[in-house]
Parts: sequence; structure tokens; C-alpha cells
Amino acid sequence: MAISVGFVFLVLQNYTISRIPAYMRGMLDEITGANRLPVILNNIKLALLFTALTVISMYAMRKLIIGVSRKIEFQLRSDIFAKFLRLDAMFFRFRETGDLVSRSTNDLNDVRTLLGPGMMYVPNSLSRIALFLPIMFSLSPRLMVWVIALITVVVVMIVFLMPLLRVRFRQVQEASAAIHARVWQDISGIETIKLHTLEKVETDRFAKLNQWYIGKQMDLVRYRGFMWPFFVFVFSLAELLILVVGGHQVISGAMTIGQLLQFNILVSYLTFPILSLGWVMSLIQQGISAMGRISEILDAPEENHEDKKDIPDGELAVKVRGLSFCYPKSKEMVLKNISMDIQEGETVGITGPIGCGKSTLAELLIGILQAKPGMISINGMDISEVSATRLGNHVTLVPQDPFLFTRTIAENIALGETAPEPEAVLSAAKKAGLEKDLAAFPKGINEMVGERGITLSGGQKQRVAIARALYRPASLLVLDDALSSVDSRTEAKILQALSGEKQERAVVIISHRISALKNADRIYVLDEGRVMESGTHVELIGKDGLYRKLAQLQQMEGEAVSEQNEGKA
Amino acid sequence: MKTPDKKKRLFKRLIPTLRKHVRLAVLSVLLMILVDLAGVLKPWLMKTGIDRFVRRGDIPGLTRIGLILAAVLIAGFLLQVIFTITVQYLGQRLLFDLRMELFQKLMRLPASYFDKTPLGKTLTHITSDVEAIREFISDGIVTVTGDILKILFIAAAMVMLSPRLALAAFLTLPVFVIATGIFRKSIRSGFRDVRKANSDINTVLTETIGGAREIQLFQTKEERAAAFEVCNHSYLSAYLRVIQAYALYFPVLEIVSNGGMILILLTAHFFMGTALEPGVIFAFFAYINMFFFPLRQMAEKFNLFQAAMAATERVFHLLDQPEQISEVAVPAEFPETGKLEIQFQNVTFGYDPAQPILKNVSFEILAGEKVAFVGATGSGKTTVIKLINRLYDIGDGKILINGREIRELPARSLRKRIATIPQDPFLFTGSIADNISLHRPGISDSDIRLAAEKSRASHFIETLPNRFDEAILESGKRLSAGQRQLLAFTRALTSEPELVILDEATANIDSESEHLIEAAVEEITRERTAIIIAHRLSTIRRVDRIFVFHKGKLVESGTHEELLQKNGLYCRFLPEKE
Ligand SMILES: Nc1ncnc2c1ncn2[C@@H]1O[C@H](COP(=O)(O)OP(=O)(O)O)[C@@H](O)[C@H]1O
Ligand SMILES: Nc1ncnc2c1ncn2[C@@H]1O[C@H](COP(=O)(O)OP(=O)(O)O)[C@@H](O)[C@H]1O
Ligand SMILES: [Mg+2]
Ligand SMILES: [Mg+2]
Repeated sequence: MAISVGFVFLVLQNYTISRIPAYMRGMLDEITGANRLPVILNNIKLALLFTALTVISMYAMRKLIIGVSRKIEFQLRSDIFAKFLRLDAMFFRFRETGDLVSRSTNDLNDVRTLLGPGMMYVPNSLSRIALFLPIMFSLSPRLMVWVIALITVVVVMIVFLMPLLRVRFRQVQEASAAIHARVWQDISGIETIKLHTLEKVETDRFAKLNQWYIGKQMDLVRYRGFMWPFFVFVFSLAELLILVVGGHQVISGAMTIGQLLQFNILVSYLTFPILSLGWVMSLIQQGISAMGRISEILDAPEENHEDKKDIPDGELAVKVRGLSFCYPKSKEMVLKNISMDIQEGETVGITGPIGCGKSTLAELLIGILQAKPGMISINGMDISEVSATRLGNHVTLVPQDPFLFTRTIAENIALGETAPEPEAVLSAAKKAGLEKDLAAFPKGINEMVGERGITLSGGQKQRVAIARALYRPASLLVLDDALSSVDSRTEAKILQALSGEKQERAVVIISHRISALKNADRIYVLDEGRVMESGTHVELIGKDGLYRKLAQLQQMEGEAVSEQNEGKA
Repeated sequence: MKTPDKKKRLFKRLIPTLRKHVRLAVLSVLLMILVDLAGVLKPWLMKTGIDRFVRRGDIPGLTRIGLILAAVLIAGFLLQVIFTITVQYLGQRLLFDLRMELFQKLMRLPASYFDKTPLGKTLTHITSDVEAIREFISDGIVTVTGDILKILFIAAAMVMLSPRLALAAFLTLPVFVIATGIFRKSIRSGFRDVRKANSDINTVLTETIGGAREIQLFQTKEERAAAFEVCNHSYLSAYLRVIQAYALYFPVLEIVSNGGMILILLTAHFFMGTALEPGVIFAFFAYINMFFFPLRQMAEKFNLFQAAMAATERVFHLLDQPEQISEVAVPAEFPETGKLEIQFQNVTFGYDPAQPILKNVSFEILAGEKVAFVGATGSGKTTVIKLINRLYDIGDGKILINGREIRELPARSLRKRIATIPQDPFLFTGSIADNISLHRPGISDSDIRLAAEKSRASHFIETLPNRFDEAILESGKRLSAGQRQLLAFTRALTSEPELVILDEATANIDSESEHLIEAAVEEITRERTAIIIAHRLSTIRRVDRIFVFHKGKLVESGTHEELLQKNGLYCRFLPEKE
């Protein structure tokens, strides 16, 4: 709506602009002729009137059209963000953060420029040409034909030559993105760089990258630096034509000198709109390819919430049947035909060598990775039919590498709640064994966590994540190696707190430590994506399998300690 | 408010960078002057053509002047091409220098800087802020110098053609100056808010993408959306204000230039009348156009300049950051021994000096000795490791390495002798092989393979489709945590350190794999000083001495047996017995 009004003003503006030079001609012809004051004043009056109209319509045009483009940008940005929130975590697993951020900022800006200036300048140039041509024709058909020929040549060149820039533009963008990514990496890994004294190596690599970037830039500059002045040059030939062709006409009496002036002013009013077409062309190209990159986000498949169901209430019963899983774009099956059961009140242990698929299994159980229909069900409902948000009310995970937000510890625990109950937060922190650590922080539970948790020790990070999970009333709690950085004493305490919670929920503990597993009701031992054996600690110790081997390796320590203690006693 | 003084100071600091390219800069300005002269010549030729030849009906003369004009147009075009390329090249060289300077600074900044500064902020300095400065210098300083010269040339040409008409044309200048002043002021605050909202948007975006899993798991979507809504809105409203300012400013320019033309004609009417040479009017109209064009461009670039000012300030702020820890002027030579000896004497340290994390810690690790650090999480074990690597400087006390105070030693040659395998290893985007070699020269493919064999990382690497060339995505999010630790361990095996530190390096590794890499641990620590932080007894037991940390203090130390006898804190940390 606003935009069509904007276009009305755009045409009006060009109309009023087209009228003004006529009064300048009137004045010049009067001065060189009879030179009467009233005639001059009359011309001035009209020129001022049309200037006033130009001013008003120009203001309205800019405000409306550019304003709308900003509003569209706003909307688009909201849409992208909303999409990020709807996409499942899997989407992010295969993409770089920097790339996604750049799409939703830089690319969005390119689209905005296409919608704003891009949408304003094209109709502006076209309507101006359309309105000016009849006037120029009435002044001198011959000159007009010449000028039209020039305009055509310039426009054709713009349309055909500008696309040559596109490839070079893209290369510059790629180079620039590479620099961005490299710096991001180097700052994130700065400690590694320092510890391995890679400063020099990295500086040299960065210099090489920058050199490459300059090369790409200069490639672009050479083309642009030639093309743009060339367009200007071709169009400026109009001045030459006005002087020579127009001069002839004035001499032959076909034109007055005032008419030549009018023609000259009209052409100068055309210069910018015509030449800006070149710039607009590149905006359009950039905008379109940016829109393509944004669409990749907006069109990414997401789960359909409409016909998703909820998990029925009742005693928790998780059934995993013939679960197999393969990461997209990978051929190897990570999990093969896994079956297991988890009942309310149970503690289930999972163990196995690194890379055997424990974390994958955990993420499948809580729906971050999607299992095929018929493989996992909770309370009889297949989880592929449950929406992620609803599933989140029933299951939760303490991931192996938890992400902490740059907020207070309390806010990190009560994630997403605006006004959490302090007691509930504190009690979750207590259960996670954070109590003593909190006492050491100046602001206790309200201590700010540094970016991605850098100001916390590894174990503290893990325990904040545990508290976060315990804070939720979810009935299935999965701990993915969540105690690895915690000393055995704290581990024992947390496990005890967890077993106190057992009545209301089931707990899955993934761990390498026998001490964390041995009290579980059932332990599954995975190897290369398969369940090799399962049973209680005692049963598994009795078998001659992987579990016993692991236990023996760790037992040696335990026994050693016992012996020592006995010896001492 | 930016005082001119501050501007001058910022500008002064850019000079050394500029000076390196003084020839290019001078060349650019010279070219610019020639381009300007060609531009100013055109209307003059037009005037001559009309008054001397058209009005007298001299057709051969008209053809002659036409040819001259054509020559000037061509010369102007060629000069413009050379100028553009030169000035852009200058800009790129400057960008390169600035960026490298910043990057090198980054490499020298202490760890504490990165603790305090959000990653995104530093990233902006090296990417967009330097771009803004480049634009400021190449589009800004050079173009503005050229524009100012051009304005002077035009003014001179106008005065030479007709002082009276020139005066009439200049009458509109005050209106322009006042309008521009108001415009500048209103966009300044507008753009400031835009930048602020923009950086907020970036922060929320980055966190939302990084924490996508947590957001899904804990259903914090509404809250995130609300936070985003706020900054998105303030971005929009700030921009709408800027648009308002531009929408008002451009029409004013129209008034100024039309007003100028009318004033010129009016003056011609009163003072010249029929004696007027009409060619002069042609030239004046062209000059008015040319006169306001650069002024208008400068107004459009205010935003750019202002952003560049802010960027320059931020960049210099970064360059002014205190560097790595108080390095003494001439660091002592590093004593060659082959084995490191470490001594802590009453060391007190806190990341925030007001909040000591380590309190009065003293110990000695002899050359070739193997010790274990034991203690609850958060007791300060990793902090001690960071101090030994001199990532931070201590508050009180002394750290001696081979008898020399740590401050007197060059940090880099100290770290070269230490191999630290950290708790949460960082993986770079790149191939597996690059992550092991870290691009260090002198590490061959066979070294990489050998190290991977020893660490048993080759076991999983062989299963990857591209093996050692397999690409690692952002911080290795496609590898399991244990696999990441194995890679970090492999890294350490490629060097020949004198001190080996394992900071819970096997926490995410299962016992069997751990058992398998034991040989590698054995090998890398053999004949070397070693510090091992672990919660598992199997690892701890093999060391010569054990240090028990508790709440930032070293509370017990001794051999396993001695500590058991003591029946102190150490016994409480041992894995539970049946
Ligand atoms: N996003 C992913 N894409 C492809 N492969 C993956 C991805 N994440 C993990 N893997 C691979 O899947 C296997 C199992 O990983 P994971 O479940 O994390 O093992 P773990 O048992 O150590 O927790 C590993 O070989 C790992 O490299
Ligand atoms: N970069 C940092 N900034 C501020 N505090 C930190 C930082 N790193 C660690 N801490 C704090 O120092 C204490 C000791 O941490 P750390 O040495 O990592 O313990 P650990 O014994 O588990 O290795 C913890 O309370 C932690 O919160
Ligand atoms: Mg795992
Ligand atoms: Mg630690």
C-alpha cells in the first residue's frame, strides 16, 4: 500500500523535475532578447512552484519506499530467526555458525538494498526517461535521436557487461568469508595456538590468506575501475553532441540558445539515473544471490507441528526396537539394530569404547537426532510422531559438551524461564553438587558465566548442565558422560542425589567408569554400534565379555587401593 | 561527542600506516587533480564553443572546439581509470597492513583479554572495522582531498568567468551548510543506535545458533524470540529515523541547486541583460551541478566516516591493550637442560585479582619427576597448569623454571618446551592431518601417521571416508568427545617436549582405549618431567609424587603410600571401594 503511494510520488517527482528547465530557458531567452522583469519573475514563480512540488514528492518517495524496504528487512529477519528456532538441532550440526550468522546479516542486507534503492532507482530512471523524451523531442528531434542512441548504448553495455562482475564479486565474497572464518577459528583456539606456540605459523598463514584476498579484490577493481568510468565517458559524449549538433541547429536557426540550455539541463538530469542503472544492476545481482542463500535457510525442511501428538501420561516405558542410525551424508551405520527397554524408576547404564555410538544413541532417545518410525517409543507413542517441544517435557539430556549461555549461573540452570523460583534453582544446583563452588563465587548463583563457559572449570560446566537438567521435571534423564570431569567423590554424591530422584523418573547414565554404572538396574555394553551384552553389573562381570575386561582394568585400581588399605589396617 | 582533538589524535595514529604507502598516496592525489582539471575544463570548453563559435555562426571553429572537447573527454576517462585502480590498490595495501598488525597483536594478547572479551567483538575488529578504515582512507581521505580541490577549482573557474554570477551562485551556500549541519547531527545519533542494535542482533544470533541443541532441549524458544524481537525492533526504529533524515536532506539539496540557477539568471537579468554571453550560463549551470555533487557525496559518506571513526577508535583500543604479561626488555636465554624443573613459591593468583583462586601455593617438581595433581573440580589444578605455561601472570609469589624466574623467560620458548594436553581440546576447521600437525613446519605425513599409531587415534581415523584428509567441521562437532581427546593427544606426540602435562586428557576415553594408549603415555613421559591430572587411580598410581589440591591450596603431597598412611583428604578422593 505505502509502496504504491511511494511510486505515485516517484512519478510525480520526475514530472515536476521535467518541467523546471523550461522556465530556465524562458528566462535565458528573455534576458538575451527583450529582458523584461515581469516575464522573468513569472518564470521564477513557476520554477519555484515546481521546485516545491519536487521537494515534497521526493521526500514522500524516499520515506515511503526506503521505509518499506526496512520494514521488509525487519520482517525477513524475524522470519529467519523464527525459522532458526523451529529447525531441529540436526540442521546446525552440519553447518558453521559463522556462515549462518553471515547469511542472516550480510546477505539480508544485500536483499534489503535490492528492495530499497534497487526498487526505487529502476522505476525512477525509467519514468524519468519516459517523461523527458517528449520534451526533448519537441526541442530538437535530431538531438533527441542522438541522445537516445547514446542511452541505448550505455544501457546495453550495462546489461551485458555487468554480469561479468558477478563471478568476481562472488570470489571476493568467498575470500572475505574465508578470512572471517579463519579469524573466528584462531580466536576460539587461541589457547591452543599459545600452548603450541603457533603464533608465527598462524600469522604466516593469515598473511597468505590476505594476499589471496587482495588478489581477488584487485581482480574486481580492475574490471570495475574500467567499466564504471567507461559508462560515464560514453554518456558524457552527450555534452559533445549538444555542443556540436546543437550548435549547428542554433546556427541554422532550428533552435534558440535557450532551448539548447533547456536540453542541456534535461540531459544533466538524466545522467545520474542512467548511470545508476549500472550500480542498481549489481545490487540486483547481489540481492538475488543473497536471497538464494537466505532461502536455503527459510526452505530447510522442518518438522510439522500441526499433526504431531503428545506422549500419553502414565508410567514411563521407553522401548527401543531394532534401532539403526546413519548420519546424513555418511555411509557408515553408527548404530545397528539396537533394542533396549527403560522403565520408570530404573537406572540404565550404557558403556562402550569411544566412537561406538553412545552419544548418538542418547541424542536419538531425546529426539535431537531423528530415529525412523517404529524404532523408539515412549509410553507406547512413537517419538517420530511427537513434536520436539512436547518431547522436551518428557525427556532431557546432559550433553557431553554442554553449551552455556553468557548469563548468570541461575539463568543457565532455569533456562528459558523469566522468573524462576530461587529455591528450585538452588535445590537443582545442590543436587548437582554445585553448592561448594557457588559459595566460592563472589555473587554465588548469580555469578555471570563467561562466553561459552570459559570462566568455569570443566567439572563446574558439567555440573551446571546437570543442574539444568535436574531443574526440569522430565521423566527420562540421560547423562552423556556428564561426570567425566568430576572427581570420584563428587561423582558419588551426584549419583546418590540421582538415585533419590529415581522414583519419579528413569535415568540413563552413559559412562566409562564402572563406579558410575555398577548400581544400574541394567547395563548395555555397546561396541561398533551394536549391543554386545546387557545385564546387571554382577551378571556382566560373570560373562567373559567387554564389560568384564573394562571392569578388570578398573578393578585393578580398586583392588590395589583395598590391598593398600588392608595392609595399612 | 567527538571532539576535533580526538579526531586529530586518531588521524595521527593512522599516519604511520599511511606513510608506508606515501608514493601510492601521492600518485593517487596527483591523478585525482588531473581528473578534476579535466572535469573543470569541460564546461569552459562548452562556454567557449557557444560564445565564440555558435553565436557567430563559425562552423569550422565549432568543429575544432568539438575535437578539443572530445580529446578532454577521452583523457578524463583514461585518467579516471588509472586513478580508480591506483586508489583501490592503495586501500587494499592499507587493509593488508592494518589487518596483519591487528592479527599479530591478537597473537600477543594475554589469555585474560580473551576471557573478558566476547569473541564476536574481536572478530569485528579484524574483519569489518578494518574494512571501514580502508574505506575511510581510500574513499575518504583521498576522495575528500580530491573533492575539496575540485570545489576550489570550480570556484576559481566561476570567479574567472564572471565574479558577479559567481557571487550569486555562492549565495545559496549558507543554506547548504546549515542544512548539512542539522542532517549530520541527526544521522549521527541514528547510526549510533543502528550499530548498537546491529551488534545486539549479532550476539543473539550467534548464541542461538551455537546453543541450538540446548534451546531445543530446554524449550527456551519464546524467550529467545522475545530477546530478538527487542533488538530487531530497535534496529528498525533507528533506521527509520535515519531514513527520515535522508528524506529531508535530499530535497533541500534540490532547493539549493535550483535556487542557485535562479539566482544566477536573476543576476544576469539585472546586471548584464542583453550583453550576456549565454555560454556563461551553460558553464555556470554545469559548475553548480559539479559543485554540489562532491558536497552531496560527502554528506552521503558521513555515515561511512562516522562508522570509520568509531572503527578506528575500536581498532586502536585493541592495539593499545596491554600485551602479554610483563615481558622484561631483554629476556634471559633459556637454560638448556633437557628436563624442566618447576618451583612454585607462595604463589597467589586470581583471574580477578580481588578473588584469589590459588592461595599461597608452594611446591617443587624436580627434573624428570612425574607428579599427579588430585583434587575436586574447581580446586585450581588447571589454573596451575595455565600458570606454568605462563598464560597468566601471578599476583604474589614466584614461579621458577630451572631456577630462573618465569617472568624473565621468553614465554614462547618456554611453551615450546612444554606439551600440554588440555581438558577440552580445541579442533580447527581443516583436515585431521592439519589438526595434528597444526601446520607446524617440519612435521611430515609420516610423523603424523606414526603419532596417530601410537595414540591409537589411527584406529578411528582409518574408518573415516577420507582418513587423514577427512574435514573437521567447526570445533569437531562430528567427532565423539573421546575421539577429540585422542587427536589432542596425538598432537602432543609429534613434538619433543621437556615437560609433559596431561590435564584430564583421558577423561572421555574408555578404560580399554586408555589401556591401549598407556604405552604412548609411558613413552612421552619417559625421561621427562610430567604432570598428570586425573581422577583415575590407575593413572595416578604410577607417578612419583601426588599433590592434593583443595580450594586453591596445596593440602597434601607425597607418594601414594605416604598419602594413604596419612589418611587425609587424599583418601577421600580415591574411587570408592566396594
Ligand atoms: N554429525 C556427525 N556426522 C557424521 N558422523 C558423526 C557425527 N557425529 C558423530 N559421528 C560419528 O559417529 C560415531 C559415533 O559417535 P558418538 O556417538 O559420539 O560416539 P561415543 O560412543 O563416543 O559417544 C563416531 O565414529 C563419530 O565420528
Ligand atoms: N578464565 C577464568 N576466569 C575466571 N575464573 C576462572 C577461569 N578459569 C577458571 N576459573 C575459576 O577458577 C577456579 C579453578 O578452576 P580450575 O583451575 O579450572 O579447576 P580444576 O581444578 O577443576 O582444573 C574455578 O572456580 C573456576 O570457576
Ligand atoms: Mg560420546
Ligand atoms: Mg581442570
